Amino acid sequence: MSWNGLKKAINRAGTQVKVRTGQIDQTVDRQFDFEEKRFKTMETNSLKLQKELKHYLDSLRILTSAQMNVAEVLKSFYGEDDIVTARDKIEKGVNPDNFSEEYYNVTKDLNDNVLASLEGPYNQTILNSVARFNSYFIEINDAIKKRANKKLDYDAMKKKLQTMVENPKSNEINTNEYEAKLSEIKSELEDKRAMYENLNDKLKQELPQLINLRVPFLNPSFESFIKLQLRFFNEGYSSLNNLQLRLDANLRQDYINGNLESRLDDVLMKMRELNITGSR
Amino acid sequence: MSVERIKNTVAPDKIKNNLTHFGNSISTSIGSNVSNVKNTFKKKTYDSDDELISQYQHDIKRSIKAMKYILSQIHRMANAGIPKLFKSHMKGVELFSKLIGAGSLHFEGIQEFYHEFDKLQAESETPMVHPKEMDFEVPAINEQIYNYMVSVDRLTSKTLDDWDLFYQENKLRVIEMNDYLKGTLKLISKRNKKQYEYENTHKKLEKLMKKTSQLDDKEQKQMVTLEKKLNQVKYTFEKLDDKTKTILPHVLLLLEEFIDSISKIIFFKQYDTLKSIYDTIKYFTTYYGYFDGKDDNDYNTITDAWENAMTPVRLQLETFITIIQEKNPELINQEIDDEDKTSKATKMWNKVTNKMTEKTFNLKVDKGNGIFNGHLIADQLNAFLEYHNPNSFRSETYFPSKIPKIPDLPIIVEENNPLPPPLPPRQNTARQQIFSATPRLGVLTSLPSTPSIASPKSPLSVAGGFEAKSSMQSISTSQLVEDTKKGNPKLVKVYNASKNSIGIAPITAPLNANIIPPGDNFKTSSITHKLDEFTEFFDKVLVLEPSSERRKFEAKHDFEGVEPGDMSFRKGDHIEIIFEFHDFMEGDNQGIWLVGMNEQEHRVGLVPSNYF
Repeated sequence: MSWNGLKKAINRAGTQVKVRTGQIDQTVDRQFDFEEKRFKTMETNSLKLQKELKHYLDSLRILTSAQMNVAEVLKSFYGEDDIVTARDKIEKGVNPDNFSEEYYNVTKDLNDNVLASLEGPYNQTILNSVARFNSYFIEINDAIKKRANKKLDYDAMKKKLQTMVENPKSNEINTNEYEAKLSEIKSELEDKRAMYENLNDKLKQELPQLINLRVPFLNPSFESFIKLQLRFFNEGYSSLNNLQLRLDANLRQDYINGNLESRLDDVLMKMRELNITGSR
Repeated sequence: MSVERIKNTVAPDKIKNNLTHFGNSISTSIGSNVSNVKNTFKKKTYDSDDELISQYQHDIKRSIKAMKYILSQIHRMANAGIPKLFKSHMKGVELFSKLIGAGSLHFEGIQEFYHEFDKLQAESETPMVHPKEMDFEVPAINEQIYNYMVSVDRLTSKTLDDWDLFYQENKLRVIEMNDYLKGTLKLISKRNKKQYEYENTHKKLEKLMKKTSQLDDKEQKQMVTLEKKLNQVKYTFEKLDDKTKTILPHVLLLLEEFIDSISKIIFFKQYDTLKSIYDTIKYFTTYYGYFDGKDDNDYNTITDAWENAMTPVRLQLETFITIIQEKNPELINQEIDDEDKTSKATKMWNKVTNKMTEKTFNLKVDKGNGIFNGHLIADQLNAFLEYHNPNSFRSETYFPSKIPKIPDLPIIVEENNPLPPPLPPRQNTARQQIFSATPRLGVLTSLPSTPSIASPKSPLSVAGGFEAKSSMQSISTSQLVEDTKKGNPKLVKVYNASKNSIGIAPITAPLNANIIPPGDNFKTSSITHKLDEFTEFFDKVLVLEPSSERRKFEAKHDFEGVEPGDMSFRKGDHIEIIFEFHDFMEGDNQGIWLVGMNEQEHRVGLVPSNYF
């Protein structure tokens, strides 16, 4: 910060205190305040949105890899009877006849390919799109800050003029010097007012535009969020479904009826009957 | 417990083979197997049984670890992965709603502003736009976001409950299974210990017996105790050995059954979850017509739709908002690409943390054979012998790989049903044209006087104007005037409306001209939005048209709506024509589109005239 900038900042801090304590009347523009509040609300939500959408993709990644890991372990129970032929089979479009191997292939494909093909469009239409929208806020916030500063300058100048008119130092009254100083301050006040109003008007005009354009800007991303998910889960679902169709038709029914789980309980019961530790 | 039963249900070839190996203790191949054996003493009774048992011991050890790993992964999915996914999904949608949904951008204390405005309004003479009105919201979007939120919420609670239950139930089962396996391991190590003891005693005894010189008293005594001990140890060892050899195959078979069932349960769980997510979103997108009735949803289509809808808005925004334009011109000229914008440092960090939390597990068993042989291959010959059908086999293993045949769908041939005429051209109901006409229709009530109807700017000429190719050309001025003379109810209505004393549209002048009208820059691929617009249009038509003057027709063909706004009907339905873009009876054979109402069902929509 330059020396001048520092001086300005200190002066403004002083004015700020005086405004807070009520020594200086501040200029109020309710319409601007309203728009500013709306803008701030938009900003917080939009920044949060960006983070959350990123988060979503990450969780999706974690989930698919966890599923793949489980399938890999389940697969390794059965061994690969011949690594070369297994690959050959897949290349030829013939599915391996081992359920676990097949399941692993499906989950691996989901994790490696299906998710990867989702990422590009997801980045483009959602993450980067929202990020672009959020990048506008930096400039706008600068402008808002600048306006607040100009407002402080303007208020301080007003106060200065007011004190001069209301409580003139007795020895200065009606002297030429006083008149000159008064007109100098008046013209300075006019300057400050123009600067403040210029920025204020600009913001008042452009903030609502930005705010209103958020809907057509962000809605396509929302739609694409839903569409991409549909596409992704459709792919995952149908590849699992293909595998499901190759299983015994009774299996699905057994799962729904809870027979598969009672089969686990059967196994456990038989294990108990084996009386391994010989405690009986 | 019947051994046979187990064998019949689960009997992979390998274990069957192994079973036969037991008993063939005196194997000729001992010598070749010695290399991977760790025992140091002379292997007398060490045979293929021992090798097999140590193999099993290793397998069971690894299985216990593997099941623990699987359990922990399921735990991770049920308690972290899935809840996180759904939560961030939900949060994302909520934020979307807060940004662009109903009541978006409402902040704390907004009522104060409204109140202040009301006070100001009461004092001021000129009407102003209430700040509430300045909110630009699209009802279709509000509804969609809200409904999406509700469906996701419902899906979330259901899925999370399911997975939690799933984890809890199977956790108990896996733990119990692991306990049995640990018991088996104990049994094996006990047996091995006894075996070692037996061999040791045996060795000592042998040493004594080999002595060539006469045994002294002490040695004699030792020999007796050793012989006694040997018999004792032999007895316990044989008992344990026997038990191990009987139990182990069963344990392995049961373990396989367990693993097989649990793999399938996990598979189905995942399948169910994906299906329910897919179904929910599918239902949603179908309901709101995100794909415009087409089923084509590859990534390019999605990206294109986004690009088409978003780019004009972005350009508009970046041109009009001078604050941004002046300050950051480099940003504006860039297209939005599909690159991952995560910084390299973050990526590295993610990689490291993922490695920490995401341990993969290696079962470390014989890669070629694994623990089980789970190949599901039908012996078609056997299947044919048993079932007279090579494909309908039930294998010894749990579930045969069976590919159910999809029954040939019967093809329904419809007869006596003449093909309906081709649909009329759509020009006159093309979307933009209707909607560019719509707002004007709304203003009809406030039009000042008759002559303006005939003027080219009048709303009806616009409404007719979009009929370019059809016979009527467009509704010419003269025809309109003629119609007025004939007393066409529609025009009478318009005519009468103009007598209304209100000269100016009752819309207050905007406070400032910043409010951007939705129609022009707003695009959405959802049909709901289009339907909303149609409904608005139909409502206006219904209000404008006196019901007494409507004509009724009987439908000659079935009609299934093709585009949004169409009304389906059946042959024989009576359709009341509410609004004609122009008098269709005079049209050519091609027909045109009309607005019709189905009386019984109170539905309104576009219908093709040549179907009557």
